[in-house]
Amino acid sequence: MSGLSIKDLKVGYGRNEVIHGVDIDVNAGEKVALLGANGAGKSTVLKTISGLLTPTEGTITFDGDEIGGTNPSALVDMGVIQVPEGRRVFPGLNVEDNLKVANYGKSPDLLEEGLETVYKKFPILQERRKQAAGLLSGGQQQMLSLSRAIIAKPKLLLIDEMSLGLAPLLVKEFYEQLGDLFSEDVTLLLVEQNAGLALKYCSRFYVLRNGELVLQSDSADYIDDPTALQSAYLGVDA
Amino acid sequence: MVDYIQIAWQGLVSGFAYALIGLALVMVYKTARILNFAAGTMAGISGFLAHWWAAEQDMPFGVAILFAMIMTGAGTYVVERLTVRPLVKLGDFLPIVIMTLGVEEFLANVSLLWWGGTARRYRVPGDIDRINWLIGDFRLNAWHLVVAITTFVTLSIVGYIINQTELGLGMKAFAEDQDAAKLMGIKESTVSIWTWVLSALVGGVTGIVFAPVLFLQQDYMNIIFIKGFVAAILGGFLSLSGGVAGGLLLGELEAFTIKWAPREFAAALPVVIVFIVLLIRPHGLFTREKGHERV
Amino acid sequence: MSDPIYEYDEISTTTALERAKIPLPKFLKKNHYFGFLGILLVYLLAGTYSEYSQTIMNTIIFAIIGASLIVVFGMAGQLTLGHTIFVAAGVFLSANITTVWTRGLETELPIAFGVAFLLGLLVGFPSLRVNELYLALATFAVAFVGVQVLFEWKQFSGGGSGKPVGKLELFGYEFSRGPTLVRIALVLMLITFWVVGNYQDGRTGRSWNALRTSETAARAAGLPVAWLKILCFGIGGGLAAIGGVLYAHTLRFAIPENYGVSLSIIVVLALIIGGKHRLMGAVLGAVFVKWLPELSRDVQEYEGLIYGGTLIILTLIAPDGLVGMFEWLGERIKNLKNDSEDRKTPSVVKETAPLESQYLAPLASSEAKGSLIVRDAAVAFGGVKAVDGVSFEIPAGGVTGLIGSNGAGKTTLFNAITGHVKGATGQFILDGEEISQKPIHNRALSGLGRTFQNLNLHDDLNVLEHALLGLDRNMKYGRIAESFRMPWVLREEKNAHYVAAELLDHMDLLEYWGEKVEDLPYGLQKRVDVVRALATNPSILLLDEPAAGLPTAEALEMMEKVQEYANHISAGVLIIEHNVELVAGVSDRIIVLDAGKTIADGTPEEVTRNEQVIAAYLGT
Repeated sequence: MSGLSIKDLKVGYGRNEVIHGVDIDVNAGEKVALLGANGAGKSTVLKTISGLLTPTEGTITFDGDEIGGTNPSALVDMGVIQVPEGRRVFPGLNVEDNLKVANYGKSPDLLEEGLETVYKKFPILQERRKQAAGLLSGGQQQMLSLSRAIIAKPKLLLIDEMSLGLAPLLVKEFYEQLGDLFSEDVTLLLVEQNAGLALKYCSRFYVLRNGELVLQSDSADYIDDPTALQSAYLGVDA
Repeated sequence: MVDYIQIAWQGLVSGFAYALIGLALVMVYKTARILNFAAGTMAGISGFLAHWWAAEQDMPFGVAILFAMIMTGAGTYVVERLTVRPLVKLGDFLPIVIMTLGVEEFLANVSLLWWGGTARRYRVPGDIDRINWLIGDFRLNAWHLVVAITTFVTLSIVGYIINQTELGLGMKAFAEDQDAAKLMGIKESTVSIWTWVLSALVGGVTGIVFAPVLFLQQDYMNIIFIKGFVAAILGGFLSLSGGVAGGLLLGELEAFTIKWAPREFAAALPVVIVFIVLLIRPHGLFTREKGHERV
Repeated sequence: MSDPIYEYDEISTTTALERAKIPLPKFLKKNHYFGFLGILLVYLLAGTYSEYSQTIMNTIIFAIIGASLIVVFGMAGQLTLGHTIFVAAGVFLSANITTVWTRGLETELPIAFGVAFLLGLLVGFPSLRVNELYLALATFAVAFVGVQVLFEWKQFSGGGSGKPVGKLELFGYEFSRGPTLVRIALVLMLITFWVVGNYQDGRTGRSWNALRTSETAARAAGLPVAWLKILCFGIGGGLAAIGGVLYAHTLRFAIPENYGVSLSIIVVLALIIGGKHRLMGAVLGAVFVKWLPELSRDVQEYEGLIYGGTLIILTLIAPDGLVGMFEWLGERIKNLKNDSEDRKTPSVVKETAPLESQYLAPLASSEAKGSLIVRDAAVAFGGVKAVDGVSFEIPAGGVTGLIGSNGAGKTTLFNAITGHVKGATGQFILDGEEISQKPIHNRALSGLGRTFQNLNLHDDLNVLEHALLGLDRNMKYGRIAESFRMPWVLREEKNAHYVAAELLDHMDLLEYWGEKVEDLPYGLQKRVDVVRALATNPSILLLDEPAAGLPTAEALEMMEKVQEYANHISAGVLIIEHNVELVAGVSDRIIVLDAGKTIADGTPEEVTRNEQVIAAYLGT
């Protein structure tokens, strides 16, 4: 099974348990959204999948292998690639170097191929390829961050809050492009606060609140009126 | 006029030592946020090894250097694996710094036991340190020229590694954002090991090449270590080229101060510089405040 | 006839402190008696084992230097590798005073202390500008260069060959060296240990420990961190110089070379090996370093190997040194014995409400405080405007909620108000006083109390000490009085202990008073964070996500207690929360932030129905 399967995941920071037993399944090639207000723990889940955090309990399985607690670099080798929250480009390195890093440890031919693809999709990155990444605008940094993921040729793509700090129109554009940027059979787990956008692109979703899953459903059921999710998000009745 | 040039050259030569050690210190600090207190002693041992082999064990100079460098690299590898790695997980820098102090004491004692407290013979191929060329009124020592060339070569090699290789890219990325670097597939332990080893090798080169200049006595690299640190502070500790520039600057300042200021002041110069820099521009002369440093 | 204090089913009016059996600060504690006994023993035996005189002297001097280093490194946490510069100052001042000025100890000691104190204030200055790492190296450089300077300053130091030291005299009486010198040294050690111990038990020690473990929180509690840092160098330096004077008289000669980097490192090593938090550690370290070479000639040769090796091993397995190991063993043994018994302190059921106790009742105020005016607050990071022109006015005594989605700028706004973020613009007026330009601790002193999202508790300190920390700013005794534990110091300390106990009782923390905070479960840790803030008697309490990570029931319970206390002292409360349910339940009013701007400001009902708010949370 080439999908992602999370069972009874518990994660803590020090003594503080933040994720209290969560089950998430993403079938191979599926696009699933993980929604919720901030502080719900969505980023924590992604960080744990990527190996930056270790689960205190529960299992994470990808492609049939148990990956909980694995070294982050090993996970990258397996094709688990994350586009982190806030973009996290390397500000002191130039654009091209930022892209090269995404190909770390892999063959230079892949890099050539990757760069070609990326520059075609985002010509402005080619224009600014010798500029320090820290000087790019938020939108351009998001392009850069996505490009790094493209170059890394992900099997499991984890995107963390693409909308954060970006103008809404820009975010819409990115979402519309997503299908274009990555191959159809990439498995995607998308963390997002903005339910409306996420539902348009993902077929299923989960809602996380205070570290627990409170709702899961097909996007089709909510796509016309995302505000109905309000109580799931806020825990307050309208 | 020639007088000035002579002094300036003198300052430059010592500046090379400070620049190299400054570079070594900044390298480790940038990637691991650790100060390696054993750097001076390690460099000293490299120097002792090379010259002991070359001068007292009759090994050809080149071979002696090669062996010394290999030993330095291997030794650093062991120290990093055994002592630094386990402590990195704790997250607190203090134990690591204290541990490097322990390593410093340990190594200093080893050095003392092996080579004793009196100065040892060093070997200069062809005894060229006795050759002085006269260009007008300017005296140029042949070995000093070798030192200059070695410095340039070393800096070029390090520059190449940092800027043109994938490893260097990984090191730079890691220095900027550890978590993001890990997400790109960069292995923390690899970066750490290579940073330490590279830093130790730079220190080793300095120790070997400056032995004839400073004379091979116990703890001869300690003063260089201190001044290398001042160089790094001048450069802001986060900029490799800043550290180098800081070293050269310090060398020059020192040379001119010795000429014109009372001896006590010249001796206190490094500390005075530290205080002044910390007062006026704590992030260093060569870095901008919000750290978009160039390497 | 049972003692009323231990009968819990009777109505009791005892104070929280008595119920929890918290020991009151005393002039002398158990440790003091043991220490005194130990010193007395050596004092009496000083004459008998005169062939060990030199080693004993060295051990005593090292212990004194170790104690002085506890002030700088153990308590304030400043790793200094140049401490011996103060020892050197003492040594050479002594040499000069006894030969040139021909005076005795009565002149040497005060001058050595005074000069070293001032020197310490100067040396301590870099600690304000650089992080601890740089400081370690900067002080290392100071030690190195200090020796060079001494070499060159031939008038003062006699250059490389050094200077002879004159007679050992006190008020005109000359003493021969040997046992007498040892006895004098012991007396000085007694005094030094007494003073350092008094700091450990007083507010200065608490302040130093606080700034070591969390500078951020220390400032928020109103502590003048900058001054405290410089001060620790001054006092530590002065005490080290006393060791220097003793060195001068025992060696009879002062040579610059002896007081350089090597000694600086050994002094730190010794304290770390012994254990840097306890005075006993200074003694153990001194014994380790000075008696080990006595075992054999070989050991002397391998000193560096042994010290270095021991240090490396200790950092890996026993960071608290030998003292730490012994304490750990002691704990294990105690645990084995107490396994069957209930380890918690006996029931501390409240009979009198703490708020009505004689200690907390006086804090009640009917005058509402905590009115906060925020005008055009703005914070920019790089190009991003985290807070973009936020203005609101909170009336005194009210409870206001601050909500918003991720990145909305809530914590940044808090940090702008308390001063924890640089580069904030705008006006902040608390109870009519403008605090916009004040540094963090002054804002705290003006009445701002706060908790932290990531707690910022002080590891190593127990729950009671956290409460005392908040109370410290109101203590009036001076630091000199503290050094000698004057009666009024004790009085204030005792009173503070009573107040702190009542506070803990109110927040249901009383039974954990002696626990180290790092051993507590998360929920209790959050309450300790709150207690620390409440103890400062704030005009307005800023709570940063107090419920995060807690089950709702526990969070509500805690909030109830906080509100009760806030009402008692009529303070305002401003609370950031993600748990909208919780906030809506406790607030009079809610302000909603989005992308650094205010998008709603009204009653909980109004705000949760506001369409813009819903859109911001759900992002449509």
